[in-house]
Amino acid sequence: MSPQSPNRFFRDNGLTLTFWLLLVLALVGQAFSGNAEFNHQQIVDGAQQLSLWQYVTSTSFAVDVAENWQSEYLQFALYIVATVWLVQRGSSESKKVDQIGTQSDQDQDVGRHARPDSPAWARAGGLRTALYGRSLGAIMTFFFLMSLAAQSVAGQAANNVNLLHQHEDPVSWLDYVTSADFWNRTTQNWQSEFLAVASMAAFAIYLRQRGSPESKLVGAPHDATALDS
Amino acid sequence: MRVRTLAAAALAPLALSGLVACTPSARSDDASRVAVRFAAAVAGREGSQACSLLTQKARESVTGATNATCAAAVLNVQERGTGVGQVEVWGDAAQVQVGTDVVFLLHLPDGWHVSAAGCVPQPSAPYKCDVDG
Repeated sequence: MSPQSPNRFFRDNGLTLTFWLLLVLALVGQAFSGNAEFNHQQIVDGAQQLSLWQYVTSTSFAVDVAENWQSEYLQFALYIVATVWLVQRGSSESKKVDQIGTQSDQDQDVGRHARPDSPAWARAGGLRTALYGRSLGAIMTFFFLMSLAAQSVAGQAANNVNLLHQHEDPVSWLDYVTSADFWNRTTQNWQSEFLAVASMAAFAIYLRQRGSPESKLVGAPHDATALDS
Repeated sequence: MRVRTLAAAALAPLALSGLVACTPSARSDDASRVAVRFAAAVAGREGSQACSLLTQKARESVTGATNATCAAAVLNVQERGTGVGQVEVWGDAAQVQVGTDVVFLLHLPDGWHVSAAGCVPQPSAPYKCDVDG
């Protein structure tokens, strides 16, 4: 291993590593600010304040994390799958308008059209290639559903604590997932994700970010869609 | 190894929910005991004993704007029976049905305390309670 290997590793994986770091920093910030807000409410309720560790292992913190995770995974799951069938002429976020659908095996380099360096499951054909060809959307959907499930369970518990503090009856899981609290938390996250996707798809037609793969080339015409540019 | 790593990553959201799922029966037993002791103290006219089981806010709510002591005022709470019915424990809060009453409790550093008692359900609203802290 050469002395420059660590630098190369960080350069080659900078995007992923940077966003993992930002995730951790944001979670730490959420933990401290959330703990302060939570403890303020506990004082109002005449209840016991929680330490930072007690707070980050509480249902209150869990539901706040999970509700954001599910909406992010939903955004990417929908975007990945929707862009198979939906296009936006002129957007770098879209494929060409004449490529709607899952495309041919030749277009996708799978089965007997696979390249020598294609992944094994892309070369295998049959069920394995069909599964592998949908694995990105599937894993995002899986994480969306798991995060949504976590939100519902943690949310029920956190909501029941609040209800008992206010001297109201706790609710069942089924009642909770049909409650205003659950759907208010959920839809307020969803609407922001959908806004971000719609904005990105449209802005990318006319605006540029020099050097970013999320943008067309600065000199590309407005009606050039993704790979046209 | 790779499969185990993937599985752990996939189960991360579930781990979040796992933090909240268990409500040990010991906690509900402790909460029930305190609720029963409170109801028994009120029924037995032991006002001081009943007040010692209240949260600070509940003690303040009992006396309200009057000059009555907590020990005297708490005896106005309607408690009938000490049989324990349904018990709900969520986090640091509990609800215990004792006799015909519904008692709410909070878990403080020194154990469970009654935050509300003598409670009557209201449609689409919090219970209306004689003790409401």
